[in-house]
Amino acid sequence: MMKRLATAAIVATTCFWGSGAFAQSGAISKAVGGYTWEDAAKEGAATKKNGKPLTFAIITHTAGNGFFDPVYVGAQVAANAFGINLIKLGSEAPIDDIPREIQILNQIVNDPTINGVIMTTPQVGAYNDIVKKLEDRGVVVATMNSYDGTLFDRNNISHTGQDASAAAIGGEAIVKCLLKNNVKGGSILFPNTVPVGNIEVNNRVKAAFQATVKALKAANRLQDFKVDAGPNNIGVDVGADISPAPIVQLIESRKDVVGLFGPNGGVTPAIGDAISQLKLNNKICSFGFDLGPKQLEQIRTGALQGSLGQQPFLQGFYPVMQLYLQLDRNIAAANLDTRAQLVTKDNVDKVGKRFEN
Amino acid sequence: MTAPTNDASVRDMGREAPLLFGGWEVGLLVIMAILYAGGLYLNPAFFGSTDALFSVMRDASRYGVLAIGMTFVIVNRELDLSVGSTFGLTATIFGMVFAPTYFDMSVWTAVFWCLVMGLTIGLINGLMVTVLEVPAFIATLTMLFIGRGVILGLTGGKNIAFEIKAGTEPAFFRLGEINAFGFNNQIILFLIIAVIAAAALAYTAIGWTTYSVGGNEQAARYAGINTRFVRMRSYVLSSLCAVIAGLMSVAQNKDADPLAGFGLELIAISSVIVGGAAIFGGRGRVLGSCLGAILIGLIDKVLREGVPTTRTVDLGNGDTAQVAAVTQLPPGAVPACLGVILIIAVLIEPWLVRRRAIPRLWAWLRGRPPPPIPDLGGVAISGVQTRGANVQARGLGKRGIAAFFYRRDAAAVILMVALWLFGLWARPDFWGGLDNSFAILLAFSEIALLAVGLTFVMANGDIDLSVGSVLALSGAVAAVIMKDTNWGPLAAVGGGIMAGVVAGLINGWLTAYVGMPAFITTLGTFYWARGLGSSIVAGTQLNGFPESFNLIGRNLYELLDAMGLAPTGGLWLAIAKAVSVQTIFVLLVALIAGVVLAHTTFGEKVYAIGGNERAANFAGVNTRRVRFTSFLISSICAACAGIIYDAFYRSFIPTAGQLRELDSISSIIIGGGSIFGGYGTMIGSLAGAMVITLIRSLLSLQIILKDGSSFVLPQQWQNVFIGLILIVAVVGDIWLRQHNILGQLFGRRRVAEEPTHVEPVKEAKA
Repeated sequence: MMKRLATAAIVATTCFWGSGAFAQSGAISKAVGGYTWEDAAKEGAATKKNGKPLTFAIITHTAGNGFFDPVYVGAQVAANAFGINLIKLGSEAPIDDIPREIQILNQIVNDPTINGVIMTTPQVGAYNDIVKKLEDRGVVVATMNSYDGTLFDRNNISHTGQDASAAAIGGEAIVKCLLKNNVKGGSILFPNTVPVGNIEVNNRVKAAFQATVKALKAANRLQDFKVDAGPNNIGVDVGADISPAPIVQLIESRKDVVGLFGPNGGVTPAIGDAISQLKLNNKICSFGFDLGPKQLEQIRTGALQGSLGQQPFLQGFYPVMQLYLQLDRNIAAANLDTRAQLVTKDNVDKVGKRFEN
Repeated sequence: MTAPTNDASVRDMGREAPLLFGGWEVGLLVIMAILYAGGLYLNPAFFGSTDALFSVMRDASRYGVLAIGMTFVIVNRELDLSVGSTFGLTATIFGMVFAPTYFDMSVWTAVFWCLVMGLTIGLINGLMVTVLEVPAFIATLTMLFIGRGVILGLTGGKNIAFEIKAGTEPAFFRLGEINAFGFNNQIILFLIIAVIAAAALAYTAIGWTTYSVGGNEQAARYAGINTRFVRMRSYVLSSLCAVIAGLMSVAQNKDADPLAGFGLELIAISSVIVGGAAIFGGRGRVLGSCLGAILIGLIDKVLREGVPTTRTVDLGNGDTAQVAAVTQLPPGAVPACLGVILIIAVLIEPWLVRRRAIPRLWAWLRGRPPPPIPDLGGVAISGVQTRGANVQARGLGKRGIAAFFYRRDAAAVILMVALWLFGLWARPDFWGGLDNSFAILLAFSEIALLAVGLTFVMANGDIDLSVGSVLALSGAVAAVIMKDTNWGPLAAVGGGIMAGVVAGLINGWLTAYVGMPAFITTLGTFYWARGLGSSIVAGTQLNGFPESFNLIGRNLYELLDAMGLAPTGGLWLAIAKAVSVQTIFVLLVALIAGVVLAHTTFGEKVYAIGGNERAANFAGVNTRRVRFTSFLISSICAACAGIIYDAFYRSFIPTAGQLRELDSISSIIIGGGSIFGGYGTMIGSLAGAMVITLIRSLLSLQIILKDGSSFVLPQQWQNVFIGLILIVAVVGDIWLRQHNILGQLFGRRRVAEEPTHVEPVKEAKA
């Protein structure tokens, strides 16, 4: 019996190695259709007109606060990889300036050298005419970051970004932190620049707020906490201008704040600043949305317990690649959810080393 | 310099507005006590402890220091709109000098360069106002633009953090920390500065000369006061106070935020006015301004309070939960309340003080005859400064192109053409095409529409700071009607325009009939209209309007198509697809407004009032009605812009129209309008709006080089470009056109070359 088993094992082993050796023998050097991979990988002859490189424009609604810097970096990396001339544009304001973005887009629409446009769409309905005109002119379009579900020809336009529901991770993280620290009760607040009316940001607040309530309810601790996201669940209003002062005021006046969630790259560092000013580092379960050099530093100092990165590098890189493939190979639009990367003290040193955040 | 006599009347010049129990400041303290009591009721745990007091004082410290500097300027009958950007520049300069990621120098080197920067800005403001004779509003507005542009250009909009290095410099950064007594050290600095400034203004020659110049500059000059020096000193003090406030902010935040100081100029001005200073100069006290700043801080704190409540939260899948929370006023309530308080504070003076309401009430209660109401002065309080008449006189008899160069709007038209030609040179392949030309017109239409209405107001010698906020209010009203009612698009348009009419009625009535300065009235509306607009949409974005409404913001082809009149081919089709309905509307409104302003008696009355209101009044012009109507026109134009905004973007957000007031005022000034009134043409205002639009378009234009590579001009510096063009336009207008320095120079040369004609005359005179 032992002899038979040993023989079977030898045969099986021989077959296994044999099959591996067979697979590595060079069958993938040519496609079944008979063409070589090198030929198939070549750029289409008609992709570049008159041998000139393709020109793409990437336009954002605020180029002035640094959040979109990794987006531009990602786009430039992809542009370099595919030999594309990239024009990086955006409202120069450090706060959302959609009219300026629209003005830039209306000019880009008429520029005959532009082959592809990547844009953010934070104001629902405002971009339909532009997309229609771009498509009429044969310019391919991709959107990123903020999502407009009603956009003209939405199903044929790729979107790279993060679903607002990812903010739920932040809400759950707050509850985990509170339970871990054995906090008996207090206020969990969701400050937001409500008058700005950014629908994407408001949706994040809703998602994080609901997740917090659900997690507290699941832990049977909801009755111990005040969970406040304002009357419409889109945030406790801290005014249109981002600054730590109103958040300091919230913490001071409520007196029992144990959790905070910032929904974007403006409010999150303001929360960190407020906590730092009040010397409450590591004493409040503070999480937020978006990563930047400042948030990373605040996570290290304990002013923030964590923040959710929406991988902005990908939001620049992927649309450029997508548009190139659309022009070169007529690859249909594909959406990419960049999801959320929760960065805490444990992994903060591993992210953003090469301008990715 | 000769100091005025040290008698009691001079010392009391800053206390000409007694109120309630003997002083304006007492009234402020009473209001504060009521507010504080409200806070105590809402949140006894916070307001019942010293925490609330220290918190209010800490936040008011920076406003207070800014307001102290502004007091010197306003008492001097001037204005400084640049303090917010000076505050922000302080943070930027400090951050760049101090932060390890930039120059990594010592904290005191950073402080030194901030003070140098503040001194420079103060001197530039002072020189522009006193030597170059640029109106204070324009000079400091320019500095605001340039300052904000420089901040954006230097930082790229990014925060400069230096928290870790700040830990190594406790001597400076302790300023922003809480001390052993439990309050922030900024409060001590604020109180020290307040005491020194109050003593200087009340008991030293600095104060007397400031009051004298603000009260009557001509009399002060005859009294031997160097008025130019006094006015420059005020600007320097204001800038230095802005630097100190900026350093306080840096010490507390330990970073430099590119948004630092954004909008603080209006908070500082509001503090001073609420504190009892007169916008026409000659009156104001440091104590009042400080209390005004504290009151604004307190309003912000109390209005953000609420009472405990329970909300039902939908968790999805039919699951709900009861959650404990705190009630809140709707978003925008704080600015709305600030605007109303600002207006009320200023109304107190003409209605309670100047009309002697309290003594009359007291007399009535005692059954005695009321004291007489003194002569209110009426139009005399307006600063009448007719300028530029000699320029137009020189242009009389000229024809064709020569006559054009004597027009005040010529420079804007020339600049507009030059900018457009630059675009054509840079991108001849598409810049001049039909589509791009109409795209530029599309971008221009919002600023242009606001500028059309504002031209009437400014030609009247008034100002309207509220146009951007009225745009937002009207847009909000129209959006809410479409979303929350089934009244339809026509009702939305009507509702939006009615909102504008109400704002215009308030602005016009308070300014023309009550006698409030237009700057203050419209600053109040700037706050309340935006706050109300934000409140009624609950701070959310509204969209999904009927497409029949959205046609207002589409191209002409879509409108004609909806009416069954769409062209099918040829040039008309191309034009219909390129031109927008809103562009046609704006040009039509501008045409009508231009005709009204230039060719009707109403337009002549507007210019007459702007040139000299008293003379116009004596000539039988109903000046109040004309000014009132001008405000109404301005607000209706802004309301139309709000409705177009909704249709064009197919949605509304509460930040609609933000900063558009500055764009439209700049358009008019660049277009030859005068901040003093009496001038301004529709062509000039439109050309000014186009100049601003073209600058922005060119700064996002892809310029292609010979080797095929391309680049875009540095967009971050656009505000610097606009600011420089603004100041060049104004200085050029004053010196090249009004003072005709070139003509004088060439005239002198001609005289020098022909001595035989001159010398006998001199001899004869001798």
